[in-house]
This record gives sequence, structure tokens and C-alpha cells, in this order.
Amino acid sequence: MSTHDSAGGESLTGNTSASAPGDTGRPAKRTSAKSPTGPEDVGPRADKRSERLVATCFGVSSLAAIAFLVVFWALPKTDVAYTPLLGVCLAVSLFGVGVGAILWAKKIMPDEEAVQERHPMYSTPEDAAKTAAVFAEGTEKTGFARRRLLRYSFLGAMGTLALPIVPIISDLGVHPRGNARQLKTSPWKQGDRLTTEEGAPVRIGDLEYGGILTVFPNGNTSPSNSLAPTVLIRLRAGENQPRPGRETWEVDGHVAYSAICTHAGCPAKLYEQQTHHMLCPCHQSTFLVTEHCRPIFGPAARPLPQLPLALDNEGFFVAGAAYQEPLGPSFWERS
Amino acid sequence: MTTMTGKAIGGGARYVDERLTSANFIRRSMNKVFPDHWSFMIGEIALYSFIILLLTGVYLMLFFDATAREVIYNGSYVPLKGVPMSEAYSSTLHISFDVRGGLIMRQIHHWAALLFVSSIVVHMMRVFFTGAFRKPREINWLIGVSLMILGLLEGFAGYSLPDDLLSGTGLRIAYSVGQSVPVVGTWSTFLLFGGNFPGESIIGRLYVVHILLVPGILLALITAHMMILWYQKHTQFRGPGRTEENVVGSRMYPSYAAKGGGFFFLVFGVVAALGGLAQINPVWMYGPFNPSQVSAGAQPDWYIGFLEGSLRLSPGWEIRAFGHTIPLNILIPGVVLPGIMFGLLALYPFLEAAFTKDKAQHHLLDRPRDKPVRTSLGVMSLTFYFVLWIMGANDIAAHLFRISLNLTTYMGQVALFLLPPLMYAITYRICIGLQRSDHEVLVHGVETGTIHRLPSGEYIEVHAPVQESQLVLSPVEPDHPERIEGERGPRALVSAAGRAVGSFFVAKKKDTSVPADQRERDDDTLTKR
Repeated sequence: MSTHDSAGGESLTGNTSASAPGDTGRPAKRTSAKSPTGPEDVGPRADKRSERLVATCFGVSSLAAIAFLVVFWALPKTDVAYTPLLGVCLAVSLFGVGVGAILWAKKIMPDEEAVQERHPMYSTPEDAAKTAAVFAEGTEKTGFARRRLLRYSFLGAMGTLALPIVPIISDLGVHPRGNARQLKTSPWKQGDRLTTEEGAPVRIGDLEYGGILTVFPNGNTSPSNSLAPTVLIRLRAGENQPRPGRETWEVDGHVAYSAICTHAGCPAKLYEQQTHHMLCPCHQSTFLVTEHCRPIFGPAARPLPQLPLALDNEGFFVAGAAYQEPLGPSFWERS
Repeated sequence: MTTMTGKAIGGGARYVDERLTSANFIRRSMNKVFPDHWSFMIGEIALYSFIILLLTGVYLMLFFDATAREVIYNGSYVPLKGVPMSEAYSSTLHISFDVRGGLIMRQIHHWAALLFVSSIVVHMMRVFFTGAFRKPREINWLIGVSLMILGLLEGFAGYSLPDDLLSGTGLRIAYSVGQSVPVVGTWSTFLLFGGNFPGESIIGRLYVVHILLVPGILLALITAHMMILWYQKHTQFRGPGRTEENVVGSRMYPSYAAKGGGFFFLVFGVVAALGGLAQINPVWMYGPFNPSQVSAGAQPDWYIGFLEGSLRLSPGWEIRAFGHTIPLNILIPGVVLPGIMFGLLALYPFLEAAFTKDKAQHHLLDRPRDKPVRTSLGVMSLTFYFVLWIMGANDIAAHLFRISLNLTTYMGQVALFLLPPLMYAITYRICIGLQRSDHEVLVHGVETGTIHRLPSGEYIEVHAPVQESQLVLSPVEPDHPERIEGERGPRALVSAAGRAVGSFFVAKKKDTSVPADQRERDDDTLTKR
């Protein structure tokens, strides 16, 4: 069944083990220099066949690599087949090498199984003790344990060396004390016009009943003003049930709410006009527009903040006042 | 080997040896034995995808410009001509449309990233269910957990770089998650982003994280992972001639090197085919990031899905007291839960060793059925994870199955607490059943296919007793909790003609007569003594 592989002078451990009977395609023989043949060896013709097979794989790989070059230069990069063809050529080229190498290992190299002893995963007690002794001796020589002044001043120096990290890190961003103020400041001021994404001001009649429009303060659509996006929605008369004290925040059925979800800050503005539900597509918080955008489903905990509306003397919508509460997701300093 | 090449190699080897004294080291390395099993190749896939990521990543770096500066697009993608966008997004479009072969490089990079994280996760499952994390391999388990977490971070940082609408939404959520942490949350997100979201800094900083910081740590940890693996040698499944004291397999050179090298090209080939044929992350369809817009039904890369799911399942809880707000609806699903999940994962080897009081070293792998508690715990945890993961796509599920979106959320909330214990019980029962079937083979032997008719007219099938060489006995641990009462441990693997008590994880092993290792016992390849 098995024969010792004695090639190469080194005392090797392998034994060419037999493949399963009937597995004739696996001659465990390389060249004439190899050890005697096992029963699975089917002779030089099979050996030649395997060699040709492996060489074919490598040949296909070379051809595909050249085809890659042809596609790369000959085809316009705007062609719809450009990237797929590059991928196919590259893949065939890589597969050729991979399959060839594995067939080489399986069909031509001997199928041997080697055994290796493990070394123990611990040191002998003597070694461990010796190491401990060396360390103790070294520590003793430093006097770290005895010389208190040295010890404390050294540890103190290491501690104070960590201090410069604090200002270096803290200057990565805005000063901490400004944080909460910036998040709490309304991006809308009293009298700011509601403008569309294109910058056009909005007046009564621009929106149908059930219509929704994303608006920005005075044409400021800059992405850096990320808390500003607001939605203007037109409800039918009597549909809105305002909170006590907010009866004057709507203008002729129009209401305005912050578009930024109070959960994780995505724009929550998928509006369904039949149910008056407004959905945030990120985590599916749902707000009821007719009831001051209170959350009725999903992870959001707070209603969308409402922007008081008014009309300026030209009849355009303006903010009747700034937002009365911080916009967007919650944070530690919020309230 | 011809004399010519022999001479050339000899000359080169002598040159190196006279400077590094490398002959012994190289010989031991070439003779190092690797056990053969398909499941040991999953970790290799992770390694190979990392190499592909480095290769393609360096190429992409040459063209990508990670700045938030606003430019007006004027490339060859017509629908976005004249649109203001960040330089980062514009240069991603440039790579995709104006650099020859740029798109396939981007797509290979992205597919390789998905494969990297996927193969790490599957590799960890293999290590977990076979007990390969046990002493002395706990350190490598910890390195592996770190590699997985860093892989997630690296992937998230990478797909945030193009600054498209999808990735910007992901960053927006990440910002909110950071902000939700009590006391330090607001401060640390302001430091990281350089101010309120989105700020000007984050793309450039993520770029440094993505191309230098995390890859550097990954490279160092992968090196450590493999050096430890090399030094400790592979684990192996039980089989004839395999003991706790040896390794049986094929030698590094030439057999394993040829197969492993070939396998690298196969993995690369698969990723190249995907990169060419399967579109991934078509950022030009999402448009540049804009905080007032979002695309519905958009999904993050799969490994972020469980966080998305946990955020979606959370009830709307928030604490407001003493002038401060703690948004539990983000803090728990976005910070606390993943912290607990990764923490338990990292600590599992130590927890198991403490509960089973097992201080022994293990080099032979367990079959999952033989450790029902561990296997069931693993399936339970995976179930928990998969419920979260599926819920990350509940809108798509609702659309697909035409059920209410809200219903999918309620189902997920129930399933998250109901399914894991249920799966524990089911898995435990399956393990015990499989143990019993092994036991039956041990007691009654193997079916031979030979039918005898008895004088009474009864037909019976002859059972042959199990051969010693077909048996792989596991040591019976006397105080092991899951041992079946009254049985001397049904831990035998039989792989015999007629009845292969096969298992997904068990190597089918040929009958080998194993010679003793004739080399010096200390054939360690990493240390020279």
C-alpha cells in the first residue's frame, strides 16, 4: 500500500498512501527518480496526459492574459462589454494558473501524508524558574523597588508625558464648550423665507392639498447646513390638530416640520397623504403629521420639531419664529 | 532537477545562508506539516482577499482624491454633468468612467472586501464549532476577534469614502450613534467630524483611517495571527494515527505550497469575475450626498446590516432628566448591544474554560455534536445575529412578501427573544440524536448490505463490528455536563464501507500506517534554539 519516500537524502516522514481503488486518475509518481510505483500508478501514458493537462491550464492562462490586453486597448472604455470582458479575461487567466497549480499538486506530485510531532506548549519548570530569576536579578539591580524617589519621579514623568495628548486631540475639532450651543442653535431665524431647492420662494397655491415640499432657509441649500431641511405640507382645513399654544403656527392649512428624523438624523419625508403618515426610510420611524408629527411607530422617541409659519408682506411663506427646540437626533446636552 | 538549476539554486542559497544562516530554518519550514481539510481553507480565503484588497487598494489610491471641497462635475458621465459635488465623489466617478480598467478595479476591491469579512466570519464559525479556540489558542482567538471588528470598521470607512448619497446616509447614522453616548458623545463626534455633521473633515480622516491606520494594524495582527498559528501548529480532526501530540497532513513544500498558491489564484479569479460581471455599489446612481435627501430601500454592506436591524427594532425609548438626554433608542441598539455581542465573542474561550474547568491543552478538534452545549450556544448566538441582520432589510422583506412593514418589525421584536432559545433547544436535541446514532453503530456495527434469511423465514441484515482502525475515540471527560446518562460516551467516528457515519465537519480519512517522525523532535520553524 504505502512506500517510503526516500528521495533527497533528508530523512523524510512521508508515505505515499494509496488512493481509493478505482481512482485511476491519480498516479502518485513524478519522474523516474521517484520511488517505486504503487498500485494506483497507471504508467507513463497517464503521466504524460496529466502533464499535458496542467500545461494546457497554464497555456489558457497566458492566452487569457493576452486577451485582457487586447480588450484593454482595442475596446472603447465606454463599451458596455468593456468591464465584463476585462473581468472574464482576468478571471480565466487567474483560474488557469490556479487550476493548473492544484492539478499539478494532485496529479503529478506524490500523494503523501507526513507526520510531525508537536513540541510541548510550555517551558520546563527549570527554564521558567531561571527566567524569573534573571528578571528578578535585573530588577534588583535597577533598585526600582528600593529607591522610592526614583520610582515616583519616573512614574510621575510617564504620567505627565501623557498630558500633551489632551490638547493635541482636543484641537481635532471644535472646542467642546461650543458643541451644545451649535447643535441647539436653530438654522432658521424669524422672517427667513421658505425657498425650494432651486431657491424659489413659496407662496400659497404653490402646493396642492396633500402636497409636500422640501424647503430651505433663504435659499441656503448647502450640505453643511445639514439640520436645516424642512418640509412644508398642505393639509385640508380642519385636518390639523395643533398642540395647545401652536394654533397660530399654521397658515391656511400649511404646516412646516423639520425633515431631520429625531432618531438617527435621516431625512424623514416619505409622506403618505391619505394617512398623513411621514416615514423615515432609514429605521422606519413614522410620524403623524396631523397630530404635530408625534411618533406613532418605530424607534423615534420625539415628534419632529415644528417651524412656526407666517407670510411676509409679499405673500411668501416665512418662518414666524426660529425653531423652539434643538433639531435632529438626541444628544447628552440637549435638555 | 537538472544540474543547471541545481547549481543556480545552490549558489543563491549559499549567498543567503552565509548572511542569514537560513538553511535549517528553510528546511524546517519546507517540511512543516499542514493538515488537510476543506474547512481549514476558509481562513486562507480571508488572507487572500486581504492581499487582493492591498493590491487593488493601492491602485485606487492613485486616482482617488479624499477631499470635501465642492467641484462642478465635468466628466464623461452625462447625467451628472454640471452637478456640484465633493471632490471625493467626483474622483470616484472619474475612476469609474474615465480611467481605463478603473471600474473593474473598484468593483474587485469592493467584492474582495465583502469576501474578506465574510470569510473571517465563516472561519470564526469553524473555529468556534470545532473548539479550535481552546488552550493554547486563546490569544489567536482574541487576535481573530480584533481582526473581524477592524475588518468591519475598515469596510465601513471604505464605502463611506465616495461621499455618495448612500454612504453619506450611513455616516449620518454613525454620527447620531456616536452622539448618543452619554457625557462624551457630543464631544467625541465633534472631534472626529471636526464639528457638526457633515463637516469638512470626515472624508479626509476616514481616508487616513482606511488606507493607513486600520490596514497597518490589520497587517500587523494578521502577521501575528499567522506566526502564532505557525508556531503552535494547526489543530486537526480526530482520525487514525492522529493524536494530541502530532500533526498529520501534507508538507509545506511542495504539496501544500502548490495547492495553497493555486487556491490564491482561484480566489482571485472568483473575485475578478465578480468584479467584471457583477455590478456593485454603482455610486453614480445614488448621486452626491445631500442631507435633505435619502434613497428608500437602500442597504448598507451586509456586515453593517445587523446594526441597521437592531436600530430598526428598538422601541422609542429616551431618558430626559436633570438637564440631560440619553437616547436609549440609539444607545442600546447601536452601542451597548454590539459591545455585548463582541465582548461575549472575545471572552467565550475563557468563559468556557472557566465553566467546564478545562485547563488542558487541546490540539484535536471536537465534532460539534460531541459538545452539544457549545454548539447550541453558537447556534443560539447566530440566530440572534441573523434576526438582527434580516431586520436590517425588513422593508425589502415586507415588499417581497407583501406584508405590512410594521408587522415585520413586530415579528422581529418577538423573534429576537423567542427564536434563539428555541434554536438552542433544537440544536441540543439534534446533537444528542447524532450522538445516539454514533453509539448505535458502535454497539451494533456497520450495515454490510448482506441479507440473510433465517430458517424461520425472517430476513436480517448482517452487521459487521466496527474495525479498530475505523474508530476514532474521543477521551470521555468524566464530569462533562452533556454526557448522556448510562453511556460510555458515544464519541466514535466511523467511516466505513456500507455506512459512513459522515459529518459535515469530519475529514474522511484513508487508512494510513503512520511512520514515526524521524527528524529531530524540536523541528520548530519559528524559533531557533
